[in-house]
Amino acid sequence: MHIKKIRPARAADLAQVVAIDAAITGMRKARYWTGVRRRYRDFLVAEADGKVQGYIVGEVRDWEFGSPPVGWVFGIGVRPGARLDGVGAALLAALCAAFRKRGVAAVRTLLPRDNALVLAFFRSQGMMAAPVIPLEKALD
Amino acid sequence: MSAAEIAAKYEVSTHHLAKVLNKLARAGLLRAARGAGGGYRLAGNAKRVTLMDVIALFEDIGTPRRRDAPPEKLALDQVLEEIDETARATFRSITLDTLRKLVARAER
Repeated sequence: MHIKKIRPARAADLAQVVAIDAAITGMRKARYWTGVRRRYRDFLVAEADGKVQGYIVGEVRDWEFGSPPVGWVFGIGVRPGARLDGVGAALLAALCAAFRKRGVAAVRTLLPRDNALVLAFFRSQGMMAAPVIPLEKALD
Repeated sequence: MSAAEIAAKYEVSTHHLAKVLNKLARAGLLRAARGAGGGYRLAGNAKRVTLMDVIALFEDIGTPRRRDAPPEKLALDQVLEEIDETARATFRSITLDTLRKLVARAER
């Protein structure tokens, strides 16, 4: 598969983004994705064979959690049939290029510990454990 | 790569290495080729086989959960389990292909 281009997500792409996300997570979140497109400047899609093959969403966050400005990846998804074809790597590279232009020196993400597939993807792109520890507790 | 070459490169006994290679081959991670130019090759997809797949063949990473133990031991188990879970998640996320990239980076 030849990736035609990585470009900002358009309103017309949302149905395909929702479908890719639903194929991965089993949940259709149409309103959520409409909100994502409105809120986040860095919402990119990879286009090939006339279809959206994957998406990535991120943002530069300044000084949150005590960190200097850093680029965050909030989500990435690739059509199950288009995996191992460089779509995710191309999306992440494009997002990192956008982050670099804004002067940040690092990219960071957060994933459930049991999401081995996506964790392995980010590892394959050179990401290592961040110098932060996420904590939580159940609210009774 | 032949077993003798691997043993020489990593300075391990050929006897012990044979056992390790045999276990990896039986688990379907390695394929042995006999004859001249024979040796061992990775049988799986390097982008899908993880360090956890290999480690799990040889050891159990985990704190046995004790039920009838004093509260201080149960509390300590909880802390150790958090460490083990992080270790397992790390090993599950590093594929052999990623490890190869890390080695290449370390060689630079």
